[in-house]
Order: sequence, then C-alpha cells, then structure tokens
Amino acid sequence: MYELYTKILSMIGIPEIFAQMSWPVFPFGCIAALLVFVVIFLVLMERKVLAWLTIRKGPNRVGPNGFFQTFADAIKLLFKEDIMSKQTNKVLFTLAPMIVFVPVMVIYGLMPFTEHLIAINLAVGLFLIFALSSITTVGIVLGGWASNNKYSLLGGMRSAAQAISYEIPLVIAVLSIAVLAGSLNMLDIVKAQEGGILSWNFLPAFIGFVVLFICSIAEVNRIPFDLPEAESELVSGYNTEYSGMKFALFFLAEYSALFIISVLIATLFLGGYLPPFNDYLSVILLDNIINNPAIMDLLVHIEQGFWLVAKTYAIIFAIIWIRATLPRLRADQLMAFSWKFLLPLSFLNLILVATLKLFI
Amino acid sequence: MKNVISKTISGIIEIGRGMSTIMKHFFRKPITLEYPEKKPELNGRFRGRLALLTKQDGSDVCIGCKSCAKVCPCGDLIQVETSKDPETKKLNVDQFTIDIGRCIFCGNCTDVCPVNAIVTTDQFELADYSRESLVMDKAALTLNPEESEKVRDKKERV
Repeated sequence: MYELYTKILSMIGIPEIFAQMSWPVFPFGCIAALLVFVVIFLVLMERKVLAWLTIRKGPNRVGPNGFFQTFADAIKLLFKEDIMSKQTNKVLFTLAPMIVFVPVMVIYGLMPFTEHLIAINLAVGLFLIFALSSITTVGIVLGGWASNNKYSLLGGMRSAAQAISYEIPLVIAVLSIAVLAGSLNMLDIVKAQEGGILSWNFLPAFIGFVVLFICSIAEVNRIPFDLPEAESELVSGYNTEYSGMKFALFFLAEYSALFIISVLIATLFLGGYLPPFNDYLSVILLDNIINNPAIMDLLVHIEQGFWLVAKTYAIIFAIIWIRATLPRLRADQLMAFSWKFLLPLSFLNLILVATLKLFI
Repeated sequence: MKNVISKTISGIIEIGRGMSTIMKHFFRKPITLEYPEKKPELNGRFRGRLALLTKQDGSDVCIGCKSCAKVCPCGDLIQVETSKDPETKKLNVDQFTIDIGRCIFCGNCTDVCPVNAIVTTDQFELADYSRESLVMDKAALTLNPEESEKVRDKKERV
C-alpha cells in the first residue's frame, strides 16, 4: 500500500519526504472522510426510515426526495453562532465535545471493514474498543457539568449512571466471544466464524447476542435508553447549552457511534465481512469464468465490504425500528433491567459458551 | 423465578406485537399532506372567512336586520349601513364591512342570521401585509350566485 501511495504522490509531483511524513496520518484522513460521509447518510436514513415507520414522508424538499437535507443541516450548523454562557468553565466546555468525539474516531481505525481494510490491527483490539467506548461517557459528564445548567448536569449524571450499569453486561457478553474465538484480535475473531451462517457466533452465544444488542443501544444513548437526552424531561439533556460547531461534534459522535456499534455487533456475532454461504459469492459464481487471481482477489475484497455494510445497515434498521416502537424507560426501570436481568443473563451466557467450548 | 420467566416471555411477546404493528406501517401510504401544493378537503362546518351569499338572480340575500352586528362578541367588527327603498319599503344594504383581522371565527353571526345570508366558508389562508387590507367591504365579501350555491350545498350535506 505504501509503494502505491508514494507512486501516486510522485506522479502529482510531491517529493517523497512528504509522502513519508504523511503516510502515518493517511489512514486517519480516510477514516475521518468515511466517518463524515457515514454520518451524513445515517442522519438522512434515520429520518427517512423513521418517517416511513410512522406513516409520514420525511424530508423531501432539499434535492431529489430530500437527499441533500443533511448537507443543508450541516451547513446551517457550521454557520451558527457559538454561544457560551457567562458562568461556564470555558476550557471544559470546549474540551467535552472533543472527548466525546475522538474515541469514536479511534474505534473506526480498529474495525476490520474487510480482510485488508483495517487501519490498526492490534492483538488486544476488542479490549481497546471497549476501553475507548467508555471514555465517551466522561465527555458527556464533563459537558453536562461545564454547561452550568441543571438540565445538562442531570443529563450528564444520568449518562454516567447508565454507562456504569450497562457496560458490565456488555463486556461480559463480549467476553463469551473472546472465549469462542480464543483471541482478542478483531481479525482472528472474524476468521474464527468462517464457514457460512451456521458457524457465526450468534448461534452458540445467542443470549450474549441479545444482551449485547440491548446494551449497545444503551451505550449509544438511543431510544428506549435515551435518558441522558430525554427531550421531554431535560430539554435536550447534556447538550442543552451547546450550539454551532460544538453541538455538531456531539451530533457527529452520536451517529458515528451508532454506526460503529452496529459494525461491532456484525463483526462479533454475525460473521463480520464473511458471507452467509460456505464460500464467497464471487468465487461460487465466477470461479470458472475469471482465471486471473488478481481480479478474483479484488472481487472477493469488494464482496467482503458489501457483506459487512449489508449486515451493519440491517442492524441499524433494527435499531431505528426499535426507536419507532418503544417508549423511553424510567431511570429506576433502566437500572433494574440492567442489574437484575441483563447481568445474570450475561453470566449465564458466559457459562454456557465456556461449557460448549470445553466439549467441542 | 417462575414469575420472572413468565413475565419475560409475555414481555417479549408484547414487544414483538408492537414491533410487527410498526412494521405494518412501513408498507402503508403516508398520510402526510404536502400543504402548499395540496390543500385539505374541509368539512362544511369548518369556520373560516365570513362571506355574504347572493340569490340566483344576483341580488343580496341580506335583509339588513343588523342582528349579526348586535350578536358579534368583538364589538363593532361588523358594520352595516342600510337605506330604505322608497318604492318597495324594503331595506337596501349599502355598506357591509367586516374586519377579518379582529374576527374570532365564533360563527354567532351565521347562527343568528334569519335568512342565512352570512356564512362561514372553508377559506383559511387569510394572512396579509397590513391590518387595513383585512377590513373587507361588501364587494369583497359577496360571493357570486354559483359560489353561493356551492356553499349552500356543502352546508346542507353536513
């Protein structure tokens, strides 16, 4: 990849020293671009799907069928005045959206989108992903505290309470995957699920799949677990006092977290980039026609990306569907559900999976 | 323990029912009315802008009794000026002005009218640039015979 990169740069006429310097930053540039495009599409998708599920039409004024609505919204947010009230702690107030946003962006680099498309291939990838995803909560609490606003503070506090109670079943549910794969490396976890839909992890660890799904909805603060925002109670929760670019960062972090948590569920339980059949479709269909292995590799690579995106968006659709159906939980119901129900269930799942692993 | 399990199962069934209901909505036609392009079909009882009806031959229905002006809760909102016809000894309605800007669309004037001359129509787009332009005189209020017939039809059908 590096040779190709320097070749392209030298063709444009940029010296090699610049290529050497910019190469380590290059993957993160790609990730940032991916993230922005994903979020722009996701916001539109959420509004459209939610409208269809509630017998409405959704945005349909800007561009064909409203496809440019999100661009219009983004431009509006960028040009808005950045308001900060008098008594706020200005350093923390500015820092909070960044602390929310940066870990999510790093997680993008740890995800195996295809076999080769993984920016940082770590041996402890899974561990780092969950370590980073908890940092987001610190940013939310910080934003709520620094705003000097009762609603923001309540939202931030709720977020902390929610994160503490939901991260434990989440991590224990994921632990069963580490047991099944025998590794914390994301690529190894995907490769352990090779061989069609029946060898995906959601079959042996079905309870874990359900627990992880519920917990990840709580993790990204979406309805029915959107207590930190709780529009009808706390105005807008932790981001009440934010406007302009800082609010846009919160917004961006929220939706990119939704995308990445869906990729995570797909990777851990639904075989990641692997196809639901025994072999890749392009191999099954075109093996006799195309004899060039380079083209075949490229086709398989594209197909891997297709499968991951298809699974991810199926999960996102399910999450939006749940949003359209269920009402928000009360704070005590939320806690009771996590500690009394999900935590024992995740332990049960871990014991079952460990027993299964021992005998197979 | 048994209680928890039965509660869980019934909860899953209930959530599943709710989810399938929402999924059915996915395939339904949207009920959104794209307003400025498409206008809603309103009921005959809708109380919009006031109007004066005319008979088939184009003459006023109004007999100039001023009941509407008396019953109006907004004071001098309806102003009627009449003059006596020397030959037939009937009242002629010379001026009939309504300040729509102050009207509360209560419909009392239509109830009290002995000949059903004043009616509420289904026109609701009354925004304008000045208060003066909202004061409507007799020419602006009076509907022509065909429109009057339509309005009467609609009122009767309700």
